[in-house]
Amino acid sequence: MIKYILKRILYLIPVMLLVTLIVFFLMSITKGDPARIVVGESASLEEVEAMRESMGLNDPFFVRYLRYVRDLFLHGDLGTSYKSGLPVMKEIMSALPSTIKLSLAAIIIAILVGIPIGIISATKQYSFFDNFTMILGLIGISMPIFWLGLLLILLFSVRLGWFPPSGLTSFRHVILPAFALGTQSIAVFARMTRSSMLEVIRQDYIRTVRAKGQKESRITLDHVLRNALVPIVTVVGIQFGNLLGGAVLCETIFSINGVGRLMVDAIKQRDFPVVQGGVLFISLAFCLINLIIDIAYAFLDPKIKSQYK
Amino acid sequence: MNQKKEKRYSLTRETFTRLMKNRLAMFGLFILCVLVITAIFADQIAPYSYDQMDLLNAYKAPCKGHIFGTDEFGRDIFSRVVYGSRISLKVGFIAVSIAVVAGGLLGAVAGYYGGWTDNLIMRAMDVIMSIPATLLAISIAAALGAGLTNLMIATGIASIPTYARIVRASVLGIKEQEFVEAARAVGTRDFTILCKHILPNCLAPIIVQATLGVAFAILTAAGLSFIGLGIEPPTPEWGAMLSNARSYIRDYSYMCLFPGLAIALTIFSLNVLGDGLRDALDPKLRQ
Amino acid sequence: MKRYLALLLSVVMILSLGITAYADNDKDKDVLRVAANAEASTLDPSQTTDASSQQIFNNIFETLVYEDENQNIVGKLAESYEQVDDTTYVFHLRQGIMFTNGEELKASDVVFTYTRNADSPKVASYFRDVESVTATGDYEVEIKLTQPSAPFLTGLTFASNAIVNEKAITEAGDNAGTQPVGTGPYKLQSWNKGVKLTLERNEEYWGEKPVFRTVEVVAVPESTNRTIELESGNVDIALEIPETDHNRVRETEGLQLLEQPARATTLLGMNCSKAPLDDVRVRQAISHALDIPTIVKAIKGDAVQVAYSEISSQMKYYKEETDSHVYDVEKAKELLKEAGYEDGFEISVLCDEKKENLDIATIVQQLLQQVGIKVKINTMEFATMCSEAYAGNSELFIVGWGSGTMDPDTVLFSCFHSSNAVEGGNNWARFVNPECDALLEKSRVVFDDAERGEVYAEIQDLLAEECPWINIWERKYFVGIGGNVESMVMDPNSCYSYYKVK
Repeated sequence: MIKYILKRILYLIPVMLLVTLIVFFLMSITKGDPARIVVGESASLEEVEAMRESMGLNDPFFVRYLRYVRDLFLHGDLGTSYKSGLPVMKEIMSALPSTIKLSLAAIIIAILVGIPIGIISATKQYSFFDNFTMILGLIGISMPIFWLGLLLILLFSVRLGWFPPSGLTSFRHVILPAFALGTQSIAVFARMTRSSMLEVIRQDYIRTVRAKGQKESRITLDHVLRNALVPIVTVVGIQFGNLLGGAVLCETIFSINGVGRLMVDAIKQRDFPVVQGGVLFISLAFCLINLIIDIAYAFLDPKIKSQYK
Repeated sequence: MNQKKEKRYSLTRETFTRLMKNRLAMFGLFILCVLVITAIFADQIAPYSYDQMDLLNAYKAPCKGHIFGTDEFGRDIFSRVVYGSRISLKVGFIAVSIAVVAGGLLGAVAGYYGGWTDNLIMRAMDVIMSIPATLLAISIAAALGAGLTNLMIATGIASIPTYARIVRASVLGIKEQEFVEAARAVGTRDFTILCKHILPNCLAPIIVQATLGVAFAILTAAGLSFIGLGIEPPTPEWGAMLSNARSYIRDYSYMCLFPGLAIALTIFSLNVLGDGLRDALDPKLRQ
Repeated sequence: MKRYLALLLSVVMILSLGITAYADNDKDKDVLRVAANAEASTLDPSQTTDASSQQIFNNIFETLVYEDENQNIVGKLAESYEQVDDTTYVFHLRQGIMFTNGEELKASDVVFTYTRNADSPKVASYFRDVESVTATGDYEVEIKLTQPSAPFLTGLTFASNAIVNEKAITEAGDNAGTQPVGTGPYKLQSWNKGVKLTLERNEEYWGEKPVFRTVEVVAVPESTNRTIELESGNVDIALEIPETDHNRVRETEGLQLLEQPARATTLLGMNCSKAPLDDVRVRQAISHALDIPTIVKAIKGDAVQVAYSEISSQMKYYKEETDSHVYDVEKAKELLKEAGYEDGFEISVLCDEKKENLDIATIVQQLLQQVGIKVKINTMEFATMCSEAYAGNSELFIVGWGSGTMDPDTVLFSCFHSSNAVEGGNNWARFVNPECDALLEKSRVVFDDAERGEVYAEIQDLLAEECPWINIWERKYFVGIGGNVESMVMDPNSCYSYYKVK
């Protein structure tokens, strides 16, 4: 098991290297002159040229890339923001807590609401509740987060004044953005829980258990849910990844200074080191979450555990 | 040979019959048809041009002449939403076509040849997939610059790995089957085998994924426009319209109601249709 | 029960009386909460000229001289100054002023600051004529110029040219941007980047102490959200209130909308080095094809005034060119015909993502279509757009241009002198006109107020005729206040002085 985990972590290194290569490449073909951004808008041509030379921007692509990777691995240095002059690591670290807070809150809301709905729907298949929540779920999946966010602000901040529309400084602040971000996941979890439970319910051994006279609630929780958990956990992992992407939009709408917003601003300002650092960070988080999910499988399903060697 | 064709035909018909029974999916299909018709006949349907301004009639709430109201320049929102369907459908379908063709080929090659080719391609896909798709699309869009074409390329590239994986999995399942072996034995060229025998047989999962993929592409493109990395004015892209309307959300909330509703409805119809197709095509759930 | 209630009531009353009495005795207030539109990028004055940073370090640092209400330059950290001859200035510093790190302000700090700024790309232009800065005593600084420069002194009032402490900057090294040490009424308490910036009162401040003990600034980029924050009482001050919310703030009880004209205008510029814009008739035609007052009204309502000059009416030597906006489509078509562009042409307009600028571009696109000119809108983030324009790649461009000081030289010389019509130069319009050059050069060496005014009037007349810019509106700052804020004094640079808030 430990060997498997180590292997997976080691595998992450080349993957992350290639991710940096992709992003580095994308940024290098992006229009805009970093040297101009550093020296300021009104600097003369000579100043820009001197800065370009001192930043090493005149070097060939691979030289620049290797330098970047070297700094990253030897010093954990992601470079310096063109815009603020601060180390990118520092910028990301100061934005990270907000993004973590937001996505965790969203995923927790989604799990707490989505999975129970799925369980009830599965046990009462084709009931009014089932039909109603499943259509609601489809609507939830189809809601663009940036529209939902606007509607939530319109209703709860503007009309009712219950929650503040921006920032992330207190518990009350977290609710609207987390809900906006989590809505899609609620729907996905409810649907996934329902369908994977239904699949288990059809199996023979459940019939056996039921024949043995077990209480229905015990059957649902002990047998059905436990066996249906693997696909649900997978979806939680996938959804977390989508959430990290969605956070970019969510943070923009709710004026939250998280990594997503940092990156959008950086992209617009051609602050390439920040974009590279941000993508690297989010991708790493994404991969680690998937790794954790894979490990979680093992504990949920002994059959899979035996495969990890 | 003949028998196989017939079997495929009847399978298609069976699938379609099953799909017809799914009311929600049919509703999705219906909405989608309406959208496509709207997009094709936008010139006839829209009462105004999408960029025709009337500064004196700005900020008009929905009324008789302007059923969705007018925006900050007095442009008719209904007309803009109608023309917007063109943009969104175009982005959705072309982006997915790019992804299906590129991803499908990569996946087919990977699955068919196996070995290091497979390894190389799929590891590359792993790398791309380790960047959340929305994020990747944003980075590509930033690199290419604003504009409709670039938006389609960006969203298209970001979803290549999904199709590569699906096609590869199907190819792996099919390539050992007898009719492929037979074709190989007669000396048919690899490319022909891939195109004629293998790819048509993994159409089902691709169709399902592509339907959902169009939804993803439209959503991503609208999201990109929303944060200002998409299309320049006066193009009536729904995401861009929403982004604009956001400044007026308090006084003229109808301005962000209709473009949002249009996006949601489109995504909804694609999702239910995709779901329905999956159920109809998946023999496991047949009943 | 009743008795308890009475007792409770009286206790409450005594308490509240006590509190009000205390508040009356001591005007101090606790926290001032501000919603800004953007976060500061750095708190090292020399490293930025962006308004969001300036509005913070403007409260931490002070300049040598400042501009008073009557547009006179008077001493601040300098008790007095004198101009010895055309190219020599002597400043006498106040004694006993302490930086927040315990160091006393000495002439050496001034020398250090100005020498450093002369090398800083962001502010070097203010020191372009400086030959030497020398400390002629502990509290005396002498500045020699290479040539007479009328705008030099006003440059020192610019917030980014505030005086820093040599020791603090040297010690902070790379962290100078986050560890500001100034002489001002506030000092930095904490800066949780992306969340909140907190200033605390500098209890050792040499001048009048501010009313609020601490100032908390949060960045809320979404303009609508800033208003909502103000209305719901989450903040006391909201900067940059959008036009759509003006009436709402005005009409809400307990809130006030303050306005301050800025020294800046928003304009549509034309690159005169590119065909067909190199033909003055084409530029005039475009000017006639645009109904500027209507555009202003459509986008800004009655919130701002139409601009009638390249410089704002808040600047010295402003002249209103009343004839510069004549909407006449027929005339425009005629001029185009004369210039040989009867069938119109295609052209691009460069602008940033700010909604109001994009709005201008959208309407301009529509209006120019009437005279056969097809406009492609090219939006970019501000900095990228600037680098395009500095490189001379733009055709039409929409930008807000203003000055950190009241002297028109900062706008007119840098935007219309041929020496700046080079890559990296501020002359985005690439306007080259010998007559204009001569006038601009003259304006720098004429020190007599009336005479200088005449030169500038001539320049503005010439620009109105040649039309490298179409001036659109005069910019204004709108700030909403509420909560326990009674008044706030603003200045035309939008460098908000939180220490003056009461």
